[in-house]
Amino acid sequence: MRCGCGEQTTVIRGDYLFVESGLSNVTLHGVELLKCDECGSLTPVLSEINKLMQVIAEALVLKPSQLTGKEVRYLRKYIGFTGEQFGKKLGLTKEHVSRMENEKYPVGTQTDRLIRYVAISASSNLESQMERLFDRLEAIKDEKLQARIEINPATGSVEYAAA
Amino acid sequence: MNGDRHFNKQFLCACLDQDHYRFQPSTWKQLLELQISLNDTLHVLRHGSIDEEPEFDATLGHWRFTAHGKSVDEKELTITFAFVETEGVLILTIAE
Repeated sequence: MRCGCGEQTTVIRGDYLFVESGLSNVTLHGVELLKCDECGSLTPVLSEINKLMQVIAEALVLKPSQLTGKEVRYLRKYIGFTGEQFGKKLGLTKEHVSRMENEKYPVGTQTDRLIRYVAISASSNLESQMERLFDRLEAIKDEKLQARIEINPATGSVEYAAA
Repeated sequence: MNGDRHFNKQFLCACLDQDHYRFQPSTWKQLLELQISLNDTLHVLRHGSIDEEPEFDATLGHWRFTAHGKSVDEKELTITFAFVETEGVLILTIAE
């Protein structure tokens, strides 16, 4: 298969920082990658993309530390809400949601928990996580930790690591 | 289906729901350059409209369809796709 630059690629297996998800802290382990022989760029070969996006959404609602702005945006888009619709559910203006997603405003502790519940309630794919979230609520750290989320797409396993 | 120039929206959604789709390698780069998320792409395909007149791609030997619509954040987006019968998947590209 050819790279976007038009040159041949070689198939390798490795880890991939999945920034195309809209998140800068999600690493996929052991995925097939196309490595361009010319420009050296890596392109993931991903199947079952829906499943992967669901695993990421589940990893976020169960994340053991506070959500970042980008993670809030991922969850909002995953459930298909505009900034305005999401803001109405959270009792915030769309401007507030936008600033929070762009990390100009912090995600408050209560807002963080509410976002997780709104995401779970709005998506049938996530509703099975309701009980697990309830059990983990008290353990969520309020610190703004930039946790790495490590996913093995083949098994769907998720691990959180300090950045 | 790749010999067919008519594409059923229901079939498109079924392909998406059943994870029968993948991106052209260059599309991953496009997502980053155009700041479009995967969620936006799928939203347009599910809720947008499909052009009635597809283009035949002689090199690949299949019909290329175009979907127009708005992303979750209501940004206009155009996505082209083709159904590869031998693999049973949709191949997606973002049209610039």
